[in-house]
Amino acid sequence: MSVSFPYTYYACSCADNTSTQEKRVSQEPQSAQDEDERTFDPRSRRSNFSLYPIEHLLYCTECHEMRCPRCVTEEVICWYCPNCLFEAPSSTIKQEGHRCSRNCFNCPICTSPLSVNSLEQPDPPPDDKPANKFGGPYILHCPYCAWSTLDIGITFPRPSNITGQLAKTLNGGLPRPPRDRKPSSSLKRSDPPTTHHLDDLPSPTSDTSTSSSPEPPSARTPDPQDRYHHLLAFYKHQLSTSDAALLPGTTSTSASELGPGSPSSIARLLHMYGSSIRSRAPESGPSPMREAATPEEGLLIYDAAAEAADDATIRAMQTTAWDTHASVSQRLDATNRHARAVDDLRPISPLLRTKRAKRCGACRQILAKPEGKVTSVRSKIKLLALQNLPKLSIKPLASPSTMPPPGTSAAGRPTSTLLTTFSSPTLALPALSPSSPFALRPLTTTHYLLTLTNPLYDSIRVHLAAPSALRGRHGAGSRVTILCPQFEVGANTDRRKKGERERVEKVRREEAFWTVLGVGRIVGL
Amino acid sequence: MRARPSPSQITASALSSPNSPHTPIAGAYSRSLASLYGSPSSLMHRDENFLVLEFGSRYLRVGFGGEHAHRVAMTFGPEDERRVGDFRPWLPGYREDGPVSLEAQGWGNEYELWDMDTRELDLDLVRDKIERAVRLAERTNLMLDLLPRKMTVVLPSVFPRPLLSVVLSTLFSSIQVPSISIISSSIATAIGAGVRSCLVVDVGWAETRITSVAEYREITHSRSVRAGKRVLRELAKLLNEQVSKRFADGQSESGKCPTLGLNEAEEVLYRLGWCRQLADARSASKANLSNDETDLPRSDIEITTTDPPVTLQIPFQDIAAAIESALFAHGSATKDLDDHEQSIQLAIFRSLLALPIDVRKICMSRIIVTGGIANVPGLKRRIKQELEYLIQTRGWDPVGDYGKGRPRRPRTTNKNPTPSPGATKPTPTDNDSASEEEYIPPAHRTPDPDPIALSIQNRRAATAPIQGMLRLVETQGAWSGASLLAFLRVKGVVEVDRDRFLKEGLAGYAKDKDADGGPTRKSFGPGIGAAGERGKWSLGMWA
Ligand SMILES: [Zn+2]
Ligand SMILES: [Zn+2]
Ligand SMILES: [Zn+2]
Ligand SMILES: [Zn+2]
Repeated sequence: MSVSFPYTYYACSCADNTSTQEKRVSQEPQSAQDEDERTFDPRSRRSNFSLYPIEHLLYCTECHEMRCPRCVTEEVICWYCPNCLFEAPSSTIKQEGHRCSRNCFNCPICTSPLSVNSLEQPDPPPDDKPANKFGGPYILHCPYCAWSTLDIGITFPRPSNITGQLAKTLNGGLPRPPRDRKPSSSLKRSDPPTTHHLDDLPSPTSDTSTSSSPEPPSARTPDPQDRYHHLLAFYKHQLSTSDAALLPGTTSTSASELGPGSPSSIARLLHMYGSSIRSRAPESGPSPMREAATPEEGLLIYDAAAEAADDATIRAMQTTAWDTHASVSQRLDATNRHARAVDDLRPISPLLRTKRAKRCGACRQILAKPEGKVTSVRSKIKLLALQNLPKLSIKPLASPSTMPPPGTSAAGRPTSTLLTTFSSPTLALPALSPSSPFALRPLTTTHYLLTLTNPLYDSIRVHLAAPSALRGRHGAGSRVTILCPQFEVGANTDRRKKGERERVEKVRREEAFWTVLGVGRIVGL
Repeated sequence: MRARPSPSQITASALSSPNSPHTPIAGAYSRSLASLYGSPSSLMHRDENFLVLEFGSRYLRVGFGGEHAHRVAMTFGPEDERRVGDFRPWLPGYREDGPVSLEAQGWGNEYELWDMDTRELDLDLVRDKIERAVRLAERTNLMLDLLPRKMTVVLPSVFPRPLLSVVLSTLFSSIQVPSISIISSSIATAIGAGVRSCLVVDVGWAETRITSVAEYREITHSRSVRAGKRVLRELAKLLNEQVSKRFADGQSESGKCPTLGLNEAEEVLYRLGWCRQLADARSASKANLSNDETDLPRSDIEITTTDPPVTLQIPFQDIAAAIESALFAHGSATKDLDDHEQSIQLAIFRSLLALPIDVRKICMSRIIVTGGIANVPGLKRRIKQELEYLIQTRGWDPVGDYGKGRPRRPRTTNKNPTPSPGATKPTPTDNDSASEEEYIPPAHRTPDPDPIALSIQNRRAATAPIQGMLRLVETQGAWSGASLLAFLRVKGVVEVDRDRFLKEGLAGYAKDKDADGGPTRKSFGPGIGAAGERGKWSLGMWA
């Protein structure tokens, strides 16, 4: 689990804080031996969660500590679509599923952004909207893998509000039956008068429940969302009716106090009448709530129709090719969670992203605050660890054939070594192979050069320590010697204005040499 | 064009408007979008974020209460443990570390959040994983603008206390929520199915959990290790056999034979996983003995993770056979298996057998098969057929094999498992027509409820449930059940208060273990929340 060898990670101590706290709370007090073992082990699986490149770290100038993503608190400043960069108003984001409501879509096959294309038709139908230059219909088309909504049988009459049009169309082009959100007619009929407000509903669509509407060919089960709302209506109804006037003490029976939120009804859904199984007809006391009894109340039986649907699925599996089935990764997004075949996939509306301000988790100081405008990449406040902590980079001083001589390296910019390691690890990957000159060899001494860069205007004193012997699979048992365990790095002498300083990075560096004597056999990588 | 607000909104506002100051329905409400991705949140007060988290062995499902499904399922594979700034997966030619050998003890363990056996478990690692998953889910999917007011956590009902402590403390520290309510996954599953009593068969990852629930109380609990991990392991075995055969035949050009792991097996399960009917499986296994399998229809399986990619041709039947052998354990005698290894049909059967007859009658008509594997087409039918077969051949007789002895009673009397002549089985339409007589046109309805008519109506429905027949009920899933609860503001049985937990930890709660009176096992009940005993509360079954 290691990247190419010459890399530097910083360990944030916040992980240890929580764990010791926990030990105090939940387990028997641990003895002092635990203290000894708390030295950080970069090879443990846990280390992956607390090691960060310095570029990812912030620095709290109050606490004088680095702050990693897990020890800052975040506040959302704005939500925006990564495709069209439009800011989403916070009033609607949640009901839109935190997704872009404009014409942005991603390809369900390869996740590239889709474009709205016009299908050129020989005789475009007369369009009453003069704004449309190109005749419809329109499709969403993937410029990368050439997938388009034609593959799932969907075209759009208008090039605008694709989201709305898509929501009304099923795969194959059939219109989606209207959502049946209200308590269905059968439930309404058995409603007691308390819920008279249900009758105030405008009801042009109330009689087209999912069961009576023409069944879409691919879906035998009701839409999970419809069923959820049936269940919700059923429970609401149960909560509001079985409590009404039946609880002793509830004299005022206005519907308002019997809503699902009222405390008197809250407790009842879960723990009613444990004895009601044995005495199924309690002679006195409030009547128990009942279970959902019809599809309109959310009940769904695994019946013959469901078995037939399973059979159809199995037949389709057997007769179609491997790549007509949706893959695990294509089903990752919630949009396509239930898709079995590639034909069931839908274009994915991209999830919004956020700009966030970050505060120190300990003292609440603002550590980073980007500008509010979506397109701006500047920050109002940014306390980076890079500006406050010495930056370390390490690299091997290996055989002269592959490595520049030490002099050159010292004269070059050590920081760039580190950066290349991160941005293009290919460069460093050969170092992983045992044949590379960087790898530890049995009974051979390898030199490493550690470079510290001090961004501060004060000089710092550095003490180095290393375990006397290496552990882990990369050169277990090798001995480490630090040739220069203590030294001082001078102050950053550049006192120019901040903006300029960032461009002309000129800071003091000091270098320390490490040698590692490889002992024993190196386990293959 | 602005859509007309959907009727349910009006319902909701009518329900709650006199109760509390209510934000008018947002004018910008767009029906189409809301119907695509979730419930209209205008149902809730806009500022309320009720989070619902469901913990499984491999997934953490996260979303908002009141929505029909979770927003995202976080995974815990090796890729999710990557260091920040480690971009190797995006390099061309990158491959994950090779899978663990199939015979290894911990096959698939690296994809788990936790192992229920906490002796060897690094709890701090679990904490790290949860913390990162929750943080990522918030960052990428929830994008909270305000701190959530409430959080509901769905957990298995048998859950080690050290893990519970880790889960709670991690959630309290990573999301600043004032209190967390915990609900057992089987109860949430029942709520998601609309039933009050049922037998929940949760074919999960590490184990299949079978829980009988009566009136939202858990009665019995049993488990079997025959679950998702076994299924994937069998599939991986099948794949590896085929791959090595290919390499032995020299069909593939070069290179050493690759080992296929969980990812490849999962791909096959998602795309081609299925179960045969019981009769088909039996005849196929007979035919297999006599026939050569060369003429069976084969399915192409493209493995792209190997270098070079290979296409395997595996008989379609074999995929079902692998899944079935993992779950139904045909071919191995029952007596050779440990209790925790029993086939799932036998585990279900024994669970039903252990119930009092009244409860059994109710539960056997409400068997809920859920969990990650439950969606494999044909699986539910197969479970049903296996159960029917067991009931038919054995009756409700606790002794499965009399050996040389004889059954106490002739088995024929048990053929019809639950002769319940007294119980009528009204179909839903009966109910409807009955209540139709009481139907009053809206104009003539009195605003006041009629308690007598109401209780009669409720009692009628409650006294005549369908029972005694084997029936499978589908659930929306535990997450959706918990989402319903959260949205209906039903207080969970176990409410953990942030301040108190941070001060005292779980130890403070364990003291109140008996506060709810009843036996711990069945304690999904009294003594909580709105019942009035606010000071007194407990960890319920998790104590
Ligand atoms: Zn930290
Ligand atoms: Zn967009
Ligand atoms: Zn594409
Ligand atoms: Zn601070």
